[in-house]
Amino acid sequence: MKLSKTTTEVFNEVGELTYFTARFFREIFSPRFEWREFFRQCYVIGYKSLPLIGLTGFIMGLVLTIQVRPTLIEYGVEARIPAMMGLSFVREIGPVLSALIFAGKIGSSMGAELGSMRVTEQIDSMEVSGTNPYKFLVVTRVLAATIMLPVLSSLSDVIGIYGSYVAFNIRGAMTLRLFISEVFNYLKFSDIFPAHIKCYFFGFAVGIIGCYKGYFTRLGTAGVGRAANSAVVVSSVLIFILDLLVVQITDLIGIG
Amino acid sequence: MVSQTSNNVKLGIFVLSGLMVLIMSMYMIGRNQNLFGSNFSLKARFKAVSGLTDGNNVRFSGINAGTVKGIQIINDTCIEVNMVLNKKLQSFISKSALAEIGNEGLMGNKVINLTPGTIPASPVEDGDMLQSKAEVNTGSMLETFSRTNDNVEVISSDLKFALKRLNSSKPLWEILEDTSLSRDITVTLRNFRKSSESFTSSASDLKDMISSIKKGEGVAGMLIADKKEAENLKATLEHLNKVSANADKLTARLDSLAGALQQDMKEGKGTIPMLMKDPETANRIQKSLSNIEQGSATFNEEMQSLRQNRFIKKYMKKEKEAAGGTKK
Amino acid sequence: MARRDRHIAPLNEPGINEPVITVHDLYKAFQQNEVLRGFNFELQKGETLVILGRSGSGKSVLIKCIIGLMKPDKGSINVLGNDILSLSVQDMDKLRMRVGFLFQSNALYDSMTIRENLEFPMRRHLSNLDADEVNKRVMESLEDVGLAHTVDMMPSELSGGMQKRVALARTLILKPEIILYDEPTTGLDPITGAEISDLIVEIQEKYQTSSIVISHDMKCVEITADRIAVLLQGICYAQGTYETLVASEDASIKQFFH
Repeated sequence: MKLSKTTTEVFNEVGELTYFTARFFREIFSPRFEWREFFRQCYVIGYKSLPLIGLTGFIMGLVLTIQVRPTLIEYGVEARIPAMMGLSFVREIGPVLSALIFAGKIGSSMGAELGSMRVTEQIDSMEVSGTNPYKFLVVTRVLAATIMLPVLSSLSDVIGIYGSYVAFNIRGAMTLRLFISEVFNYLKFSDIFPAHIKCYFFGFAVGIIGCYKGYFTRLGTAGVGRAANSAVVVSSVLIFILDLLVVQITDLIGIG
Repeated sequence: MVSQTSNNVKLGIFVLSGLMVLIMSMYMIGRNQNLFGSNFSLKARFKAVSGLTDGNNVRFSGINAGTVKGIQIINDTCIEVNMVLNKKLQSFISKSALAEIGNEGLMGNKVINLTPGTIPASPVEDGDMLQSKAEVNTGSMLETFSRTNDNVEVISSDLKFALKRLNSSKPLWEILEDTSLSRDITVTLRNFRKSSESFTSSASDLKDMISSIKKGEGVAGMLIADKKEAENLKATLEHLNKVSANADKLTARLDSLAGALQQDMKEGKGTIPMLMKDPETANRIQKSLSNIEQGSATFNEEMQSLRQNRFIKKYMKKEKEAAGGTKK
Repeated sequence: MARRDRHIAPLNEPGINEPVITVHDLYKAFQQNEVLRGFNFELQKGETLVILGRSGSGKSVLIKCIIGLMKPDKGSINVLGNDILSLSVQDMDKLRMRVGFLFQSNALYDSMTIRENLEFPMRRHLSNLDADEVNKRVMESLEDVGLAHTVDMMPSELSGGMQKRVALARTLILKPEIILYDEPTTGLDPITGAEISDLIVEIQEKYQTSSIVISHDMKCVEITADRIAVLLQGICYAQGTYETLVASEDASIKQFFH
C-alpha cells in the first residue's frame, strides 16, 4: 500500500507525539523534579493568563445573557436566566472558552519559546549542561498547564456568571444573592465534576501539543512561526475532540 | 529574588482562589442536596409518585427542607419515599404532618410538600413514617377540567336547541312583530301608572285607618276589646310568666354550677378542669356556653318584644281598668 | 540508549601525548545525504585542533556526535577514555562536565540573567556548592572574558561579541578539560572575531585545556590552530600545521587559503 506524502506525515506526527507523551509520563516520575521552574511556569501560565481569560469570560456572560433574554421573555421564563447561564458556564462555556483562549495564548507561546530555544541551540546547551531539557522545559510546562487550566476555568465560570448577573441587571432587577442562589439551585455535582475533570485534559492537551511543536522545531526561524501556529491550531481542534469524547463518556456512564 | 517571592505570592493567591471557588461551589451544591451538615430522614408511602425522582425537593410549609433520597416499591399500590431533611426543621415538623406530592409550577419538577397536621402532636423522630395525602396532580386536574368541558358541551347544545326552538317558534315572533302590541303595552303602562297612583292614595287611607286603630277607635278597636280574644291572650301571658319563672330557676342553677366550677378550677381537681385542659373539650364547653348565652339573649329579646306588643299593652291596660272598675 | 558492556574509564588524567579524543571511522547520514563517511582523527592533550571545512560539510555534526547530541550511524568515539556510544545517561552527564561546548548561536537562555545563565550548568553538576562559592565562580568566569559588569543584565542587552564571551564564560565555569568551539567567530565582525580568537588562545593557555575549533574563518584558524584537519567529502582529507597546509599544492586545500 502506498500512502501519499501528507498521510505519511500525519501518521509520523501522531506517532512522534505519542512517544513524546509517553516520555512525559516516564520523566515526570523519575527523580529530580524541577520545582522552581515548575512554579515559575505556573505563575507565567496561570496567573498571567487570568486577566485575558477573565475578560473573555465576563464578556461571554454579558453577551449571552443579553442575547438570550428576549427569547426567554417570550416564553415567560426570564427568571431562569441564572440557572441557564450557571449551567452552561459550568458545564461547557467556562471550560471550553478558557481552554481555547489558553491554547491561543499559552500554546502559541510554548511553541514559539521552545521553538526558538531549539533553533538557537538552547535546548542542546541544556543537555550539554547536564540538565535534561525535556524535564526542565517540557515536564514543567505541561504539568503547569494541566494544573492551571482548571483553576482558570473555575475563575472564568465565576467571572462569566457575574457578567451574566450584570447583564441581567441592565434591564431587570435581581439581587446578587438571589442570582447566585438560583444558579446553585440548578447545579449538581454531576455538572461540576466532568467539567472540572475535562479541564485537566484540555490543559494537558494544550501543554503537550505546544511543547511538542516547539521541541521539534526544524528549519530555523521560519519553523518557529510554524510551530507556534500549528500548536494553536492542533490544540484547539484537540480541545473540541476531547470535549466530544468527554460528553459521550459522561453520557454513556450516566452522569450529566 | 524579591520579585520571585512576590510572584510566588501572586501564584499562591491565584491557585487558592481557584480552589476556593471549587470548594465553595461544591459546598453550596452539597448544602442544596443536604449532603453536608446534620440531617435526618423521614418516610412516606404513596399510591403513586407520578414521576418523583431522587433529588427532588421536599418543602415544609413552603420552605426548602430537604431532598428525596430513594424510592422503593413496596407493592403494586404502595411506594415508599425516603426523604432527607434539614435537622434544624425537625422540631417544627410534628408527627401528624402530611406529605403530599405536588408540582413546582405547572411544568416544573415534582416536589413533596409537607403540611403541618391539624391535630397537635409531638415532633417527628428520625426515620418516622408520615401520613400521605392523595395527590392533586395535573392529571386529575385535567380530568376534572375535561369533565367540566363535557358538561359545558351538553349545556351549550341544550342552549342551542332552546334557541333554535325559540327562533322557530311562530307565536313568539308574532308577538314580537305585532305593532299593536306596543300600543297595548303603552296603554297597559298608563293604566299601571294610574293604578299605582290610586294605590298611593289607598295607602294613605290605610295609614289613617291604622292610626285610628292605634287610638282604639272604630271596628278594629272593638275587635281587640272582644272578650274571647282577651281570654286567649291572658292564657298566653300566664304561660309566659311560668316560662320566665323557669328561666329564673335555670339561671340560678347555672350560677351555682359556675360557682362550683370556679371553685374546682381554683383547686384544680374534678373532671371539669381535666376536661378544660383538653383543648377540644374546652372549646366545646366554650361553644355551649356561648350557645346558652345566645339562647338567653334571644329569650330576653323575645320578652322585650312581647312587652312592646301593642295588643298586650292594650290588654294589660284593660285589665287594670277592669280591676279599677270592680274596685269602684 | 543501548547498554552494551558499560565501560567507564577512571577519571585520572591521561598522560602527555595521550589522545583525549579518538574518533574512528565515523559515518553519519541524513536521509540520502552522507555527511560523514569514515572520518578519523585524534585530539592530543593540550593541543588546539581546528577542523576546517565548508558549510554543510558536517563539521558541526562531528562535534555534536562527540558531545553526544547526535548519534553516528557507524564508528566509535572515545572521549577521555570513555566510549560515548555505550554510556548511560548518567555517565554521559558526568562526562559532559569535563567537556565544554561553545555553541555557534551562543545558546544563552534569553529568559534568564547572565548570572542565572552561568549558574545553570552548576545547578546539576556542582549542586553541592554553597551560594558564596557559586558567586565566586560566576564572577571569576566573567572576569576571564572581561565582562564582570554584565552579571545582572539580560542576554538580549548584550552585543553579539559580548554574548559570545558570556557563552564562553558559561562553558568555562565547570573548568572543563576539553572545550569544543562550534564556529566561534561566525556572525561577528572581523575585529570582534579576532578578539574572540585571541580569547580562545588565552583561555587555552590559562586552563591548559585541549580544544577543537570548528571554523572556516581563516583568521581565526591562523590565530588558534596548533594543528588543522581538513574535512572534505566526509573524510579527513588532510592534516597538518597552518604553515604546511598553506604551502600545500592540493587544489581542494588551496581554495580555503586563497
